[in-house]
Amino acid sequence: MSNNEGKFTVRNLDLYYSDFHALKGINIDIADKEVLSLIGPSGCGKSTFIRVLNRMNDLIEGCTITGTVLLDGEDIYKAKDASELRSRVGMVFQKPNPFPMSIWENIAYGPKMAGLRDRKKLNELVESSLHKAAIWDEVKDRLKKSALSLSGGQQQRLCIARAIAMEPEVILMDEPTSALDPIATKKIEELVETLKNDYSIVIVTHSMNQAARISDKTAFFLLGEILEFGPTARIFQNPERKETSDYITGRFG
Amino acid sequence: MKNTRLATDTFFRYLIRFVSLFSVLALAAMLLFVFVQGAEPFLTPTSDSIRLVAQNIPAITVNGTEYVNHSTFIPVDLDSTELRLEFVNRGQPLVIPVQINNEVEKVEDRLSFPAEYAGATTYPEAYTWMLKLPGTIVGLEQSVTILFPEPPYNFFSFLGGQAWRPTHLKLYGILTMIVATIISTFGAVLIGVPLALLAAVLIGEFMPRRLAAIVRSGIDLLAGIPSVVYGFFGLMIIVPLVQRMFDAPSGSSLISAIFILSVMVLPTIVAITITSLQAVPRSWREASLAVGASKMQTAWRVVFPAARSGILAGIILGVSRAIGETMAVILVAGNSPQFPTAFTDSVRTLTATIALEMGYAQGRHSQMLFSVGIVLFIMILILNTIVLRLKKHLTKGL
Repeated sequence: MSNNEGKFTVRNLDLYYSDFHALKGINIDIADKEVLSLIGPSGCGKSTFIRVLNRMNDLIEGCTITGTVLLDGEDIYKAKDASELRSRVGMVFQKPNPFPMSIWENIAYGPKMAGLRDRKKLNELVESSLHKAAIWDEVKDRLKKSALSLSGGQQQRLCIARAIAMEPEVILMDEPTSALDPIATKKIEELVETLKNDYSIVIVTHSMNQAARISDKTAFFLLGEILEFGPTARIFQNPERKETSDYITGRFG
Repeated sequence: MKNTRLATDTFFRYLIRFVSLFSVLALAAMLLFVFVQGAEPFLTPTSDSIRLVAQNIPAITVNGTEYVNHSTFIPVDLDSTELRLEFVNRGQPLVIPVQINNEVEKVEDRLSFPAEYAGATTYPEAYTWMLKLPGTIVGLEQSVTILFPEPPYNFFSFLGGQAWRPTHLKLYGILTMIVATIISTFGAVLIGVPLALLAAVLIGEFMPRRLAAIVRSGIDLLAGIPSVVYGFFGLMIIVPLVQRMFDAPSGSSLISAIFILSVMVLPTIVAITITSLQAVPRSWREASLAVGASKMQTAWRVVFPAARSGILAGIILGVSRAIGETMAVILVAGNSPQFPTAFTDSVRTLTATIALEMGYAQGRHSQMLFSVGIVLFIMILILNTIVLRLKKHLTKGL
């Protein structure tokens, strides 16, 4: 039923916050090493959906989920503990949220918590993650300084490096550039371009341009449903649904 | 409309100024009073004359001056060379000439009584002589107490002295009480703080929100219980328990004080720690969980360090409560001013001394209790300075 290269396979997913039906009958396949962008007006369920993919919704009291979410063919909601899943599926949040620790500590935190104690390996991991997140040159001289002393854009790339340090397979990004200025945004977008060679990326965005520029596939969410899903070029040039074209062209949302 | 607003604004502006000026002045006056009282024993002698107290003697003539039904001190000039006491004892007129040898260096050797009264002296080392004569009825004996002015007390024998015998020996050494206060506070912190922090993390991070709210209101209630009630609990439960556990002659001891204090600091520290844990942004927890850390790791490695400044504030408040706690400690500590050699020894803290003795203390004794208060004040000041430094050091990365 699912395509073999699919990373995530989501079937008949319904999600309720107590009484509120937030996601309705979601079916989607997320391919490996591809950028999928989720677009749609505020409150349509995009963020809720990506938080399903690494079980961040577990933290919310009264949240119930039905349907199946498979990662490499395995149901991610079967395991009691979500730690293993979350180390495979990293996440970058809307607002940069580095820990109030040093830059080094921020990157090394995840691997340390997973049990890596070897100082040398940690150092290597920190360096390679910062390299991959294209921030190494800016911070290499001040790894012991507080991460909160970085600028907003740097903080966000640090958060991406933090996610990369866990060597995940998928990176989820929840509006990663909405709190950043255009130059920082551009850097993050370029970073996403290079990261997609190694990781699957799911990105929630409010910027049509960003979705068009960086993603391979796009899903359009409206009121908790996926109205349209397909290659980005087709969605933007030739949308099948009127709502999609209205949203893309800025007539609502 | 505009004018009324102007009027109210002006009114409040002056009200605020007046009230703040008043409170600052009141505080300054209070501090000044305490410090003046507390400093006096170390600067001035207790009086500028020799003083006599006559008990059960209706009429006494001292050096030619007659005092009838005199109920306060009878002053005698410091330069006098003789005290000539004349009064009626058991119907017989009596004359007792007491020689004062001002040239003698040691104060205790300055008075010489007539041979038949030589055994009547008491406590000359405390500048006090007491002449006792049998009265007509047993128990109504007549006495004349002669008080020499005590010289200014040595500050170092105050801080470093090991004997606190204020009434008879006029010894005011508070080292034992300082030691007892430090040990009991430190012990309470050692037991109370880890317990409080564990409890706070459990309640703040792991309990379902509704249960946490209920427990939280219970803790706020505990923080408001009067300390005498804690003391009563300690007296009825902890003291007998300690006596049985350690097979001690009495359970009123240092360890009982430590136990009751560690219970008493819990609510404050727990409540403040929970509040500061809850103030840690949700995004940090999410970031930690998103890299695969468990809830436990998140709580101890991210949330707890991020809240450390607030937690430290809670600990300061707890420690201050432990140092300043009086009532509960009086009830369980036994109150003997001695060095504790074991945890089951009876001890007396600085605050307990003030509360126990202020009721009957007079003169220098009462002033010494103010000095004890100042010592306490300075101890808390030092402690807070250390903790503030520590806080600055700890929060440098934030």
